[in-house]
Amino acid sequence: MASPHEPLKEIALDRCIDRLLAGEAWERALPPDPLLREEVASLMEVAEDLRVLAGRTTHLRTARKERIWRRVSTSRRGVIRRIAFYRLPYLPPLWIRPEAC
Amino acid sequence: MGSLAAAIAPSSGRRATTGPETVRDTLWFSGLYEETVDNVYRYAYVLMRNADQAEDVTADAFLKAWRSRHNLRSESSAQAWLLSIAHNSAMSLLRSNREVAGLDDIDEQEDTSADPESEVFAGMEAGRLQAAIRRLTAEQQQVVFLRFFEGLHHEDVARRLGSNANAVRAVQFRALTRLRKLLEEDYVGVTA
Repeated sequence: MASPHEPLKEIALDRCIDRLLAGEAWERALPPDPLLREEVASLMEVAEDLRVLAGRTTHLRTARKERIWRRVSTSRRGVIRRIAFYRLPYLPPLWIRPEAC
Repeated sequence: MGSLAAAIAPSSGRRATTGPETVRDTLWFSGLYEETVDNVYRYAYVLMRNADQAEDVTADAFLKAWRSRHNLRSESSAQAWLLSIAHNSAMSLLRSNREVAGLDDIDEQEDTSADPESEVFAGMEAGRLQAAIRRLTAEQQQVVFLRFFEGLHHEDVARRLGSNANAVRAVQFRALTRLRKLLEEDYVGVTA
């Protein structure tokens, strides 16, 4: 059963997260009500940890990206024969490669 | 959804349903891959905590996406659709890992392989948080990922997920509350 404060908490938390994502001090967006303030602040500790984790999460490297594409395009289960044939997008078909003409 | 995949989507607005793939389908799919593979991989990495397994999940997700492309309702929800497929692939792989390892709780496993990408995840805190994220529902994981990892505003998250702003705020609140509880339980378990 949701409490009547629930939407207020959700909105307050969302505002704090917006500030966190913008690199601003989220504490300024905390609600004035002490109980709400305490709860949202404790959730913002988790939000900060998530942001740190996101910053550490590596992006996909090109070699791995190409390897995944090869796996997808040549898989018998996928049967993406045309993609395997054209080898899109890393090796365009011969008819649009000027060097092949 | 970005413009590339949308630009080469079939003129009818729908994928070919069954039968042999069309050139348009393959172009659409390669565009979709270009635009979303990084997000899908990062999402899988957060769930799997292992670069090779994240690659397996990503490849599996795109294969399944290709095979069920006629189920995609609109271009705007393509990323949510892919993340859902990736979630199911990750959960399936985690289950099979658990069966192979014979462990009750695979979440406690740490990846100790010599994987350079896993070095950035070094540290107990990151591992605990990732283990907690795994325990969220698929919907909660997707909101957390798009909001904190992609840095999207809640209205943009709602658009990506085909939801509305109020619902996203509610899911976000429940997700953080659940994460806090899981982390507290984990902390008590560690210190007990």
